[in-house]
Amino acid sequence: MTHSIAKLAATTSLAVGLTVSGGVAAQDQAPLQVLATVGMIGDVAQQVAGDCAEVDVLLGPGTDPHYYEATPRAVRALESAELIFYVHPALEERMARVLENFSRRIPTVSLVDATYDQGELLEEEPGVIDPHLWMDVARWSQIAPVIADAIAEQRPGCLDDLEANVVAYQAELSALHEWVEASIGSIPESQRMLVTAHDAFYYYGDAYNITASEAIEGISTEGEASIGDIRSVARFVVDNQVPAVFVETTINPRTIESMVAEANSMGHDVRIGGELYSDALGDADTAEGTYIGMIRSNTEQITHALGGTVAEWPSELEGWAQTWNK
Amino acid sequence: MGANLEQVTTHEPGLALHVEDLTVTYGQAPVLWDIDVDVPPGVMAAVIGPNGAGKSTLLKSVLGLLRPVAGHVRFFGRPVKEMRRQIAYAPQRHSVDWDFPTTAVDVVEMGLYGEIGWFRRPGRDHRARAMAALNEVEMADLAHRQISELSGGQQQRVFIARSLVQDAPLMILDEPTAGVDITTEGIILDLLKRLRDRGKTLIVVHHDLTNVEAHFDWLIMVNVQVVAQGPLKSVFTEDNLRATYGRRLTP
Amino acid sequence: MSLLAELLGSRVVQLVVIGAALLGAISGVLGSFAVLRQQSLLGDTLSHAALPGVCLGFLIAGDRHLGLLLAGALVTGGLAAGTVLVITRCTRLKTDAALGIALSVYFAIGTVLLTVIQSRGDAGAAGLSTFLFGQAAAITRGDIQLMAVAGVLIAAVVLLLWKEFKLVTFDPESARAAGLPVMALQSALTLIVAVAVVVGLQLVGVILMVAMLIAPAAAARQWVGSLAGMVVLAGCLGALAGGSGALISATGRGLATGPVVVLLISAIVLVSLALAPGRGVIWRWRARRRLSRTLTRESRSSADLRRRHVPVRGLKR
Repeated sequence: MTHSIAKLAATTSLAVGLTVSGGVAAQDQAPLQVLATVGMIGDVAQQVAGDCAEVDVLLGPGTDPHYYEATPRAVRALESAELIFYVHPALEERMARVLENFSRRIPTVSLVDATYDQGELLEEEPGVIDPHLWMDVARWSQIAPVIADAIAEQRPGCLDDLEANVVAYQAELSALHEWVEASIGSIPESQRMLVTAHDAFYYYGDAYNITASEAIEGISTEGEASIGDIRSVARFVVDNQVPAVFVETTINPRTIESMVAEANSMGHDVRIGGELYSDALGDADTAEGTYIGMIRSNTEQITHALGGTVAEWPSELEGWAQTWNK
Repeated sequence: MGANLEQVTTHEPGLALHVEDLTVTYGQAPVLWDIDVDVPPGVMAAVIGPNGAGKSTLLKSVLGLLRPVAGHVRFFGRPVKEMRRQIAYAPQRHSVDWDFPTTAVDVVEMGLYGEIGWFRRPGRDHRARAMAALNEVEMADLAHRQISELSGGQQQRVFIARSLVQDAPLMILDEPTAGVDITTEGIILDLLKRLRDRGKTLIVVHHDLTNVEAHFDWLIMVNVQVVAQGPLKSVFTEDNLRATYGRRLTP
Repeated sequence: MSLLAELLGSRVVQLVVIGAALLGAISGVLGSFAVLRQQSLLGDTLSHAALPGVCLGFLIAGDRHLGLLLAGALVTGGLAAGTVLVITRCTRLKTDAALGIALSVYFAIGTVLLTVIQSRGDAGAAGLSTFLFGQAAAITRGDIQLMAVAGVLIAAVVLLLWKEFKLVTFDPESARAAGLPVMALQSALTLIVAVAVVVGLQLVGVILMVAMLIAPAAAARQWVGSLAGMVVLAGCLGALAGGSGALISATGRGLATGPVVVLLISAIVLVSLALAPGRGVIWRWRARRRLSRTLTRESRSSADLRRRHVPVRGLKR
């Protein structure tokens, strides 16, 4: 009798033990549900995470993060996430309260606050930081290990893979950074001026030696462009003989078009040199839907329009180029 | 004008107003029920009855301003649509916002818009006719006064002048002496009598029982239904008044 | 003076000044009828109802095709006006409640559509939200041409149907009794107000458009005693506020045009309410004081008053 009970007990505990450890193992192996607000984070996070996490992006290609307000659908997406990444309240302006609420239940990381010191950030005005850090590839590359750490906290088993991914991806981004430097550097200094719809390219200009930059609207797209804004930018374009200006995918091109007409009427022939990705990536499943593709597209358009020569695509990024047929 | 009257007398003049089975409701409540009214031409008829009895509703329904649930209306034998120019209507004074930027003579001139027709402007002769109508109501010196500056009695007279200017054979007036002083009321009622003597037919909603006998010759007594109608002498009896007003006979 | 010359030499300033002056003139003229019909908030309802139309136009055309967006705005504006009519006829609610309901419902639908479009992530969705407050600075020559055409059409309609509009506005009951198609005329008036609203959306936006309709007319009413005078003066005041507002907003960086124009026309209304002879607050206060001083100086018996022939003109209002 006791022999059967013992056997039963042993079998049962073995079964339970196997189930529990199997469950733990299964849990350990299910990809972490990560939610990023913008694609510039999302793509980097997916490259870092590999199979360890599934990264979803909240805001689509044409959505302006300065304006975006969380819909019920967005809240549901946030609720089902196990880890949330966003840039900074200065970018996702209208989601600040929602994200703060979620931060109490779900690990929520402001990547700008987590990665950089206050001193490293550029300010539009005292106290108002510029959140468009992804424009500087070298700086943006620093978020990769921060993302890896955040994922590793919930998936310690992935740590090795994550570290390897970070190293590989940062190598790619380093090559990209040099490529941008070379391409932009080939533009004659007198023409190396960037005029855009809103002030999203400060870090780009700072990192890649853009001589001067101007924008019709400030860092935030809230508020309408005024006549004064358009005239003053037109004045800048004319005074500096800027060859080309740029519209952006998330902003109505009418402000730039109006400024171009104004500059033309002031006697200087300026044209629109291209459409830049400023606050969002391109369409999903396209090259421009990746972070590397976004920077590449922007750089190529700027370089061509301002009279430079695009540098040769680095070998470290051949893999990326083959994936996207570029 | 003379032309209008000739047009009417060519065919059988019949009755100035003939109403059959008129029923008007407000939601479920009846305001006018199974009304039959006949008004011969050339009389000055008063429509009397207690408040809320449907007097204004009667005028508005026969003119097509309200949609009746049932009923049949003829003016001089023809439907109202064909007789617009032969009928002059003066609504109650409060149906209009008197703060409108315009002068007395301008309001009177508006009475001719139906005659002037689409896309044409009022001419000098229209203005002259408007002045003449104001003269008849003794308001010629106030012709260019802002209507917002007129007293209640003066506003009432402007409305009457406006219905006068059309020179229509039938005039329908809704409480033309409401809220005016005795002198003005006398002026207005005497004017109406002169018009009746000229051959016009007048149907007037009147509120003051004390002077009905002195001025009107035809009576229609309404309280949701027609209690009595006909020549004033025969109809203006105590029995009829009691039936119309119930127990409350306000002098 | 040289600042003025410099401003007027700028292409964008010229366009915005012309556009704002045109809009001011059109909304001044049409607003006169709306104000006198006591339907001042009709303009507010029509402009708020334009938002769903703009969004629907976008959803159909898929791009920022301006003509389609404005056509959509006109359609939903018309629907909103129809809704107001249905509510007032089929329920016990009065016009002001009906206008408020229509305004809220249509604007809410518009907001929902706007967020749907934005969350779809369409690249072309950018800039739909500028319809809320306008973006005058981005106006194009094509927009001005559209406004000019609309202005000419509106002026033609108002001139042709002048006396009919006048009668229908002053005394719709008598108008109906005279055989005028009152419903059709009122609908025509509403329709051209909707056109004016749509035309003005780009300049001042949905939220502020109502001020452009009401303020010039309210100001003009204080000064003149005829409908023609009021309409003309309202048009002029609207054009003045539009043009100068645009000029003032061009002087600094970050000064939005729409709000400056509205501030200017509001100032004009306040001045008119205070100073206009005969109706103005200050005039009436002084007239009352003059009268009471006259009365206290002599005896106050009514016989004296009659003898005295005290002028009471204008005090009725």
